[in-house]
Amino acid sequence: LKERKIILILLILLLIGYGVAYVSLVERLATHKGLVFTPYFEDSSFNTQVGLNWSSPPNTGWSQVTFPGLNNQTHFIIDNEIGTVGVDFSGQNSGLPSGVSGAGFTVNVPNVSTTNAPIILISHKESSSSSALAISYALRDTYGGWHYSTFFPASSQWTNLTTDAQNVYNGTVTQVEVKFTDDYNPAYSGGFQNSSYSLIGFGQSPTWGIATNAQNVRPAEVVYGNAITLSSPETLKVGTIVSAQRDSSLPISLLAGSYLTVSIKTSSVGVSARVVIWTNSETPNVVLLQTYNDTLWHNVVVPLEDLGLNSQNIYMIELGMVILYNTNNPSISFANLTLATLTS
Amino acid sequence: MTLRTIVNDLREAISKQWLVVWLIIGVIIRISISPLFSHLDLITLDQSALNLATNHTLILSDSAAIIYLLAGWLGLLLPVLPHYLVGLIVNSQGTSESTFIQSQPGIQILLLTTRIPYIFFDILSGLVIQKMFKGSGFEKKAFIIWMLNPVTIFVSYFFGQYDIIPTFFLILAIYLFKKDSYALSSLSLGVVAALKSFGFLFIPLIPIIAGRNKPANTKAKLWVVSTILGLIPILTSDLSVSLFKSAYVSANAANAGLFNGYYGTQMYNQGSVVGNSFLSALVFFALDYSVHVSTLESFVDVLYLFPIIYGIFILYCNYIGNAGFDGMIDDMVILLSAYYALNLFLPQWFVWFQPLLLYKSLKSGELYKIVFFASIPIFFIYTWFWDPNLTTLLFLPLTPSAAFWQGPVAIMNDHGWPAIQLVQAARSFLSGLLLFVSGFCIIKGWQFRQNVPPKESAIIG
Repeated sequence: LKERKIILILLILLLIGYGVAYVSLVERLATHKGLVFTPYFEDSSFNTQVGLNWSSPPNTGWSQVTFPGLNNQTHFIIDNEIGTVGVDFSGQNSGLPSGVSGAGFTVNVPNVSTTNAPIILISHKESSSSSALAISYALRDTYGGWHYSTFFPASSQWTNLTTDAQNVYNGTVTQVEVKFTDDYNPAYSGGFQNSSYSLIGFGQSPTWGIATNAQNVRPAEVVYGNAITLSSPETLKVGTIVSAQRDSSLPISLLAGSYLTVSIKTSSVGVSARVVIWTNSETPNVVLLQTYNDTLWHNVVVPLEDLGLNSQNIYMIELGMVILYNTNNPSISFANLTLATLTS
Repeated sequence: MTLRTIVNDLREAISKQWLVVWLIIGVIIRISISPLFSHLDLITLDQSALNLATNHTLILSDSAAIIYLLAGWLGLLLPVLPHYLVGLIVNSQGTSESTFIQSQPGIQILLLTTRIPYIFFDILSGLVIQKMFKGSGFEKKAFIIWMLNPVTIFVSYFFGQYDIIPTFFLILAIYLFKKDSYALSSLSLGVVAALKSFGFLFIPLIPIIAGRNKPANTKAKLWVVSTILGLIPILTSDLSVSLFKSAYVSANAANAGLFNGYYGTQMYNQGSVVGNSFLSALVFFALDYSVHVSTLESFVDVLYLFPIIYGIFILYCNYIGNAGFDGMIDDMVILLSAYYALNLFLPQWFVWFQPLLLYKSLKSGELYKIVFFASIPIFFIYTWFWDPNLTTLLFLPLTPSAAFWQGPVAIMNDHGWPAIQLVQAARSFLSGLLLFVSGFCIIKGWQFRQNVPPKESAIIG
């Protein structure tokens, strides 16, 4: 019986030894790097961009710009990740030859190159869209010189102002100044008005436009840390969709066997990521609806062929969120968007 | 009849020299194939098992029982598994990345490791099968055929399905029934059911067949014992799920009807809200894959073929079917033959039938031999329904370029051949064979009840 047991143990050891040796041999013979995702489209608008949001402490890098002659008529506050300047407009400002009234703020930026990131994005909303009111910005170069933009009209709805900063100054920028003024009509006396800002960022063209099926929400397109973020400070109801849409500089069509890869981060489980590929202006194809129960980044791979998309034309890509449960202050971030195929 | 008797029987078996030789050959074949082939289902199962082993959270992608078993096994071997690959699988979003994962270097050791329990239960199945033929002169033949059976080898070691484990417990249940150990036989069928729901449908056979011609109180006792012991593994497996925190695996709900995992706070399986895993599996097996007809009312389909067959089957077993051990085998053959013949079935489910067909083909004549051997090539043609997942993509661990190979259906289509029609014809032909087997067993049972000696030779020539 003992002999049988020894033989049995030897037999088992022999088979284990064979298994180990065989797997080692297979691993040596079948040497390959495996399949890899090879992108044929990468969204570069997230890359090399610099964004500034109000999560920084208010005393770090931000400072108020006051206009001569307007003592105690202006303020600058930061609340709920929104910076707001307020001005009491009471006609011509005797403190300045131009008579312009206004207020603003400056912020330090970490040496942004407008050569690499030529587009500035300012997300703003004013208490009045009076034709007298304007916003403008200025860029400070490394030598301390300021370069001023033209004026842009005030808006009582949240507006993403995207404009060519390279035309204002082509080079390295160290500081940005934003001003809320009555430059269009310095005689304006509309009383106390304010201008709020949820984002200032630099990026490459093309930028993403905002679309939503909800009224009065404040979506913010934040270009920060190489990501695009959509958020709202309000409570969004079930079914609300907020999206960023891109329809320029896309591939003409999908390659066969394509995968969409993207990194996603959501604020809560009630916020579903929603990715849509429009094959023409009337045909949205929802390719991703996904939720996460944490606030971490998730790398997502979507096999488009499994969803019926194979070699179709691409008209637009839409990255967004759909609200599953009434959610306060929802947000979603996307980064590293690619269309790729598997190659060996 | 105790477990010690079974162990002694198995110990006696491995003292046979021919058996040891074929056992070694069988194991070497299995080890040699396992690291070379993979399938997305295996990766999904590994994801659940590795997640439980590493994060102690449960992804109920399959029966809890198999996840516990593999989690325990892979948990023991975690130190030898490639960390990069384990991380990739645990953090993957499920099947969408499985093609990528299956091609990654280092997958070979995981593929072999996962299948070692399969090899263990496969060998045990072979040992129990040859014991069932003890004294008949077919022991050696049965064991060799089992060790070389292409269907079980393909399903377990190419495809990577774990059906060999419930198949072992099915064989064990039959063997225990033969030894008149009805309680353990019921328990073993309960384990089958905990792993694959079909086992539940066989539990009533034990009190029906064993209770035949017995007093009413003995029958009642058999029913109670079989029911309780049959339900214990199912309930243990299902209720234990609540001991673990559910892993939050995100599902892509855009993949209409096919997504598995969480969307919002709700978990889905095949796009439906997940309920009790055993009942869901049973419904999946008994209803979802069954032919059904609609009434004129549009709101509900009430007539499902398989439950109708099962109802008739239970009455047949009680009032007509053959008695004893042969009756048990025949009844199982009748039900499974009818199921495969008249329902959609997944290829791995055909493994359950293999020991029964093997037993019948060696013991009951040429008809079963013909069906057994004819069913093998047809089975492989049937798998082409799942081309390329069950054809070219199986080769991904060997070469990533397999992702771009054309499968047999695609090749035939390119040549203008009616590939899918060919598969349908082969599958229908298989249905014909199996229906005949089912009918033949029914006639045999009828003859038994009429005290007419079975005239197999007259039918099979």
